[in-house]
Amino acid sequence: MAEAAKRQAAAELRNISKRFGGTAALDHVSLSLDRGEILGLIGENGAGKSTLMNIMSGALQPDTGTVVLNGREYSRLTPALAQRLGIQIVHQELSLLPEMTVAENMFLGKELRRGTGIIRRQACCQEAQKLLAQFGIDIRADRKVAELSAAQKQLVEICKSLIGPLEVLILDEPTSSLTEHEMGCLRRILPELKKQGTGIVFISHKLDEIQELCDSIAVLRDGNMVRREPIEQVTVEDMVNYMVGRDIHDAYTASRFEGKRELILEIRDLRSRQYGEVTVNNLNLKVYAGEIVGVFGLIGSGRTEMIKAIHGLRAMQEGSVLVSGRRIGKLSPKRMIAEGVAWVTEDRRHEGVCLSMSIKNNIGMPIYGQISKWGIINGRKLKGMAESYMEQLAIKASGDQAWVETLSGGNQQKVVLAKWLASKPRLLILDEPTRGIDVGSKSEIHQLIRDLRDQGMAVLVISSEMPELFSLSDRILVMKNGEITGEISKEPGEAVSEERIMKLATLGA
Amino acid sequence: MKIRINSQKHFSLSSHLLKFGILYLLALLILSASMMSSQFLTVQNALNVLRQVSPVIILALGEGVVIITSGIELSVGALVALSGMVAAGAVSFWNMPALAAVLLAVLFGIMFGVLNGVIVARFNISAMIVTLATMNAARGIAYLYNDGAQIIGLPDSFTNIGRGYWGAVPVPAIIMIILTAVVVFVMNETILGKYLYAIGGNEEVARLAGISVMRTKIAAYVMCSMFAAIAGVIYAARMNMGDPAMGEGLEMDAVASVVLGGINLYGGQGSILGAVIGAMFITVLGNALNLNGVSSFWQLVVKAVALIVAALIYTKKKV
Repeated sequence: MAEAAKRQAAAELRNISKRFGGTAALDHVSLSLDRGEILGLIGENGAGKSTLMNIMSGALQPDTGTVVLNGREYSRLTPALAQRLGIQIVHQELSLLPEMTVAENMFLGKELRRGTGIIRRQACCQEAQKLLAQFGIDIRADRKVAELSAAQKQLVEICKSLIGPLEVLILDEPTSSLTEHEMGCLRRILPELKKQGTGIVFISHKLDEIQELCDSIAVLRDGNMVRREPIEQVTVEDMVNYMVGRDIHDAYTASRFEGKRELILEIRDLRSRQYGEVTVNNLNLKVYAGEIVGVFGLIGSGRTEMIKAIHGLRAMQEGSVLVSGRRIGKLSPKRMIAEGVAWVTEDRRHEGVCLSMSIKNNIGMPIYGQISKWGIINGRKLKGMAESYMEQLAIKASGDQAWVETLSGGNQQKVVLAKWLASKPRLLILDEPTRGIDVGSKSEIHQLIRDLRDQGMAVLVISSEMPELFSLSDRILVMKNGEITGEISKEPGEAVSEERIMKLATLGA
Repeated sequence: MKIRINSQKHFSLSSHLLKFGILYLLALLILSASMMSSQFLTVQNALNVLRQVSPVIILALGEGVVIITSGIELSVGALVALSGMVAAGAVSFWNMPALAAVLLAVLFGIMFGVLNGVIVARFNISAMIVTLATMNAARGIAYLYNDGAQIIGLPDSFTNIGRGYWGAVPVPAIIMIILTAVVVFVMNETILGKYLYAIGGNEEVARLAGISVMRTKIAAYVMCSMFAAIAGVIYAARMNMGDPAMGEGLEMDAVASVVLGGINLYGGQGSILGAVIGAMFITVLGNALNLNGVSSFWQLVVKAVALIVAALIYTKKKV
């Protein structure tokens, strides 16, 4: 009996499915987490890791399936209920209030009170300090969070989740900002919690850390749970294989462009910062006319930061950007458009479209200057242009006046593409061009990109989806920590292996 | 067999009402007002209302432009007083010709617009705070201008701007119609108009499309203040004086007109003609309440309720 209680699951997910629009994020996934188990949850970007954990912690409701906690089945869990039941999640994005002290943050919503309801400030502070000291974390509990480093904040965030009931602790990429010193603290915290019987889910792209810290691994691929194994039985190489091992329908075709392979974009020794941290370092890159260059990298590898830097949206410290051999002095979106560079952004809703505006007015945005005289827009030209792009890209809508808000994700993405194609670029930069859109639109967009290349456009595609990069790119660059760690070309005879790319992206060159 | 495809758009009552509701409301208001008071539907009153509504519409045009960029401009009421004082002072102290006085007042308006626009756009400070501050500054300067006293006794050449007729049409109405046409044209047919909508719709998208967000925003505030100055001249001319206390609470009418007209407070959508209809509604409402002997204190309350209700109906928060 006692044995059974000890082996009781800390939490269990049964048959969870979840769809977002047309795409299945999770497909009948089951996962059981034992008490005192440290489970490494791995998978490519978009494999469904965060969705699964958000369901476990009540932030998302599954379409089908249940979460079993303390022997009870829940089909509709809320974040508040999950927290009461002891499910704590530490997200990648920090949720600390910078102007409050470490102790106030840790006890937020769980303040120690007197009978009269007044907060026992001193006691909170002492408790917080005790907890920090227990794990050898050298942070004063009465300091303001704003004064801490990113890594220290991450530790505070983890400690915050230790207050109150704790059955399951979910750590979503907790080590991305930790230095070796803070990693030491984490190495003390995790075994301590394990001893107390807490089940821990550890999400990370750093596979060596998974191997060091975890008891077992679970691998998600395309919304399916493909592996669940004790850590002793797998190597880092195995993990990479599990993450990517899928059939590839490689519809790659070589470029049919026969004109001059002119050098369109060249980035030399780029180094840029965001919020004081170096995000792109020593980066060199060339894109020629009539080729598609793919860029692979995990989240935080500096892929998008590189593009933002060459558009003047990041503090550039070193390096230069050349378009068609000419160095661009002052970088800005406007300047890049004038140079014939179009950038289809990653975040469609916030950087791609104006949802409350019509298709026509979205498409016209970068080119109003070209189709107007004395500031007055040639309405007929605009309409003709919008209609021709809607036809060329097969945008399904009631007309060019339809609000973009009313379109499906795939059609919204086509509007963004149409907008940038209308600016007649020589270089098209695509950041996650098919994220979250249906399979049909996806292959249409892929074909369009290939056609543009064959007509001589230079294309730079950033993607976390390897099949996408394989079917599009003439060569693939891999990024990690803001640097390019390798280049893989589609030379005949050279085998392109996903494993090699994943290794370059996770372990470096 | 040929299949005829019904290409007619699906008619949705709710979206239709949302788009044209204010027109129906205006019609309903006019109808009920004419039933309640025999004086309402007379030529005399119609001309009176037209004269009253003109400066309110002019204010609403400018306010609408700013709100479309997802900003707000609260200093328009105070600018009305300031520009009225400047123009009245110019004709009465310095004997300037009426046209020169008007241009001087408009120049003041443009200055304030540049000030508002630069602070809002360049330093990214909340438009509400900036214009709340400049509202007080403008009001203060209006009082300082003549030691807090009114400037009375203005020449006919000036007062004609507010009181005169061109044929049977009051001069303010002529000015209003011209400005309305200009703004409608700018918003619908020009690059500036598209940029204003784009910035309100999604500032980041606009920036990445190579649009100069700062310059466009400044243009919006300049337009708004310029129109407020023109409205101020009309008020001063109609009242036959420059009054530093004039235009108290007009920012409320301007914002209410815009919101009633269905322009989204979060920016990016709505028609400028909506603001014109909204201004008509506000003014006719006031006029009807006046004719029925409702005190002006109650009118404030009624307008407040109308504003909140309109905001409730129209304002859909952006995703």
